[in-house]
Amino acid sequence: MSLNNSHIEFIKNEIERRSIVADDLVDELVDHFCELIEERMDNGQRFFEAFQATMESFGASSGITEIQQETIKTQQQQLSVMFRNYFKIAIRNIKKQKFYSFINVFGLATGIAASLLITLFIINELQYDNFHTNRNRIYRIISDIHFGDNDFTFPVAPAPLAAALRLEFPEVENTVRIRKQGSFLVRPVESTENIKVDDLGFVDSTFFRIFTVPFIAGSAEDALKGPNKVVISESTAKNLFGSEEALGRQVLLNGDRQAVVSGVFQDFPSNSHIQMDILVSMESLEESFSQIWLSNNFFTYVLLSKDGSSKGLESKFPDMVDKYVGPQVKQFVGVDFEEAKESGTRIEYTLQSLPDVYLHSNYTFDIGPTSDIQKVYIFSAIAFLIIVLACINFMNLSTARSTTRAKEVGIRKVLGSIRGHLMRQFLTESVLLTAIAFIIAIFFAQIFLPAFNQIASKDLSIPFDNPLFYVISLTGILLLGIAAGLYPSFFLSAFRPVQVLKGKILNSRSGAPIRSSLVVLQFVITIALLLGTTAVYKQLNYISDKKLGFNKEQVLIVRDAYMLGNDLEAYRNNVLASSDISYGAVSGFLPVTSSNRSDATYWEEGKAIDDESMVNSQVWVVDDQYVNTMGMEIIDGRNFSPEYPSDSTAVILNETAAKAFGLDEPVGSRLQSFAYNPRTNESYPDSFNTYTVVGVLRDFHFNDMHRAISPVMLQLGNSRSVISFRFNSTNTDEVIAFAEKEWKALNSGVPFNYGFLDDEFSSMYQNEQRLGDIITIFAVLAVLIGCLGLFGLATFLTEQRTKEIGIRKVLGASNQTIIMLLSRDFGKLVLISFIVAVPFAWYMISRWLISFEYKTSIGWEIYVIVGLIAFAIAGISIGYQAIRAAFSNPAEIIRSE
Amino acid sequence: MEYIPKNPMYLQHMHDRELLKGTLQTIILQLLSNNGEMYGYEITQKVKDLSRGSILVTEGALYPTLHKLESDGLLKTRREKNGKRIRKYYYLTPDGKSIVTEKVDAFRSFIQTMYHVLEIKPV
Repeated sequence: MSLNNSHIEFIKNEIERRSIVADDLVDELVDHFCELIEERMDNGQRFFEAFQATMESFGASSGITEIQQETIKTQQQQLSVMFRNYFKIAIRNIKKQKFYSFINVFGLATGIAASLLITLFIINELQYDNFHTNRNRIYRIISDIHFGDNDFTFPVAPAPLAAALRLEFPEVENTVRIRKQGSFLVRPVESTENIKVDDLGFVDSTFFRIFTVPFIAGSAEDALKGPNKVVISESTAKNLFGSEEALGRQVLLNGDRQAVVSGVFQDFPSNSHIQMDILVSMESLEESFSQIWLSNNFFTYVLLSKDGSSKGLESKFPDMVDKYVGPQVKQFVGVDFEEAKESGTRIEYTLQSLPDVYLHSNYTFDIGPTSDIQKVYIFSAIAFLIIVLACINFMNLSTARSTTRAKEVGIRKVLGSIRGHLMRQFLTESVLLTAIAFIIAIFFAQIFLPAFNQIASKDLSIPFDNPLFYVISLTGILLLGIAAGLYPSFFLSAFRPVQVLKGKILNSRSGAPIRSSLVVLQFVITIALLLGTTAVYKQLNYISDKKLGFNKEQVLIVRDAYMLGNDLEAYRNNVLASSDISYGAVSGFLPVTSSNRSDATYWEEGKAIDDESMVNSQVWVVDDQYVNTMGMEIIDGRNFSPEYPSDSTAVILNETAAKAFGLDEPVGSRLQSFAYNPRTNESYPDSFNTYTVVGVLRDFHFNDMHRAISPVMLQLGNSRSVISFRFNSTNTDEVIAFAEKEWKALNSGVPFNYGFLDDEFSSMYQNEQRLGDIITIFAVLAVLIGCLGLFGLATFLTEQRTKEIGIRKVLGASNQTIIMLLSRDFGKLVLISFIVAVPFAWYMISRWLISFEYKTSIGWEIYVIVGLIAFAIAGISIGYQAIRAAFSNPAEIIRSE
Repeated sequence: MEYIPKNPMYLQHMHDRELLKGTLQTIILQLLSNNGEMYGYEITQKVKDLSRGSILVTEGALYPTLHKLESDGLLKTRREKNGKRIRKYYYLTPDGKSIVTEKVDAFRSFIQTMYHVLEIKPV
């Protein structure tokens, strides 16, 4: 006897009616029932009798459910089965709620992608210089000098310091000095074509014993011993010699110094604060033998012995200063060093550890690129905030959806789920969503990495080949999933089944206080980020609009002018012949940070030579067309002029310098300094040079706006590295073409290398510009993520209130009232957020602006505008839903009941 | 670890059920080892036949045990569809196969020990 389909259907329904839901069990029981019934029917019973008897033999309903319970119990003791189950239900829930799942996953993915990029950036910043084997024993000398009214802190030291350190202190295992010389033109002697090399430095032969730089050819030990030897980087070797062997070749540096290539090293990695293309043996530099302690030109690095302590070494420096520097102070200034110290003079050396160099240096100049730990903090904060925003979205949507899930929770509890099981279920769901979001995030990050690299000027990549990346990603997924799911899981699992199932439906306000606080937090973050971005941009605008005291527009800069030799004057005259060019100045000193700088100490003639009267001033060597070319303004006296032969000892001061010298009548005053030999960088204590002030310039900004304007003195002389032309044509291309044609006409074999003063100027603010760009991008992202969450939340809450809205409309509420009703709550939240965010943002912005000597003020109107923008954002996110709800047809809404 | 219902709803066997406790897994594994694949009802019938009707395995004991053995990885299942009826066959996994002899041996040595302990002779 075999049962027909309707019998089977009947049995199936009867079993399912007894709440048998466990997978497989239903089918199994149906089959088992069928067999038993068939057996009975074969013995002559009718179907229904047989079914009744079988059901009874199973122990009726309670017997069947007990089978299920016992089956589930034995299974749930098995972790893998348990998770498989959670996983399955999680996927079903995600599928069921496509819209919310999308908002959750998309928002989270965007957040994770953004944070991932920022994290890569931060890690890169933190890993600078970590490739040196001795990195924990390498220190850099920082000089801290206070002399009269002058204060200097810079990462360079006197030439003889390194030798003194090795001589005096046994814990100093080794030292290396680096004298940076900027860009050079280099060519193999047999070639006529020069190649521009950006970074050239004279270094001691110990360089490679201290720093870890792999050699490709030659011996690291001896390569830099003896004069006129160079070691070059791999890429420079390729530029100079192509595929030919570089070792042993002769090169010409800047057309006048011949040297032999004695080694090739692997290019410095991009995360090195020292970036050099050519290293020249220190013995080639006369200045390196100088015994003068009062001139600081050498970046000096110290390798401590394994048991040496930097603090211990630092504490011995004052004695060394007394011993070496003291006598020279007496010799030059004529004051006993002890006396000078009492009146405030200070010459101190400190040690900066190598890992600190990149992030903790903030000097007017440095050996290579440096960053700022502040930037790392700002970016870490942004990454963290974005993740927080995305998590808040998640939490808000999950708890808001609680109404729909309340019944599920009730039934699960009735069926015997304990709270722990439910929490695990919800956590599995959130971890699963996070995992999906993570995968999408990595995809996003990969897509946007090139663009990000460009903005941040980095060379970052996602470390797919690093196992640590996967470990961190998995940890991140778990942590994020749990962080985002913890509150909803507590919240949802706490429902009381009796109440929920009795129909006491949770209204849309359940969980509202926490949800509201989270929305407030979200808006605080959004508003703070918007304010921060606005402040950065306002400051950038302020800088570029500020009256500089010179005219940075329409100045063409032609570099490497000295390579023209005696033709330089001819070149200038040829270019000046064009009616588009009004002035041409030969001087390497430009009013932008990247330019030449030198300084010396002066005092007013007749005053006692002491730290009272001495002023350290920048000395810029220029020609008589310089002031006009740069568009500077003379406010007193006159410019240099060929009509006055005496102008060779004339100087022009800026206002700050005139003030610093305490000159009431600057024009005509006479200033003195020690005689000086620029080649050896040596000063002579017994002979003086005297200069007459012929003019005073209005102060102009030549440093970035982080620093105050310092005294500057212009002198006539030869500084031939750059020739600048002021042009008055709007056709820039024509001007360049003309200058280039004239350059080529002289046949020097030197490439025509030009730039513009305003470009040089804006490159001073590259860091700020970059900071501004990056913050903007991520602020916009943060706002988008926040909006997405708010939109989801609004959609949900409006849906919950459709019936209420319908009834209100039937009772006569106008569309406006409905819109107001739905928007009011969010409006309040935005207002609270604004009140919280403003003081916070104000404090952070002030902290950032402190580092600028010249700063804009962030007026109250900025806060108001940003506040309005926040309202607008909230309005757009919520408004669509509110309006849709308000214009819905109440008849349709209410009918559905 | 086998499940024996606290309140038997169906006469399970003519022996004392305490005696049977602990043997259901062994019975199922050995049956599957001898017969290849079997479905739930078939197992109850087979046990009934082999015990000449003195052991009746209840569904309440059988299915939880089968599912546990499955989730322990000792059994696998195969479904066969016949019209509206779906039949689930259980068969041993390699793990299950290797454990059968172990279980049966353990049971045999247990019985032999019991002969000595109780000082009785096999019938």
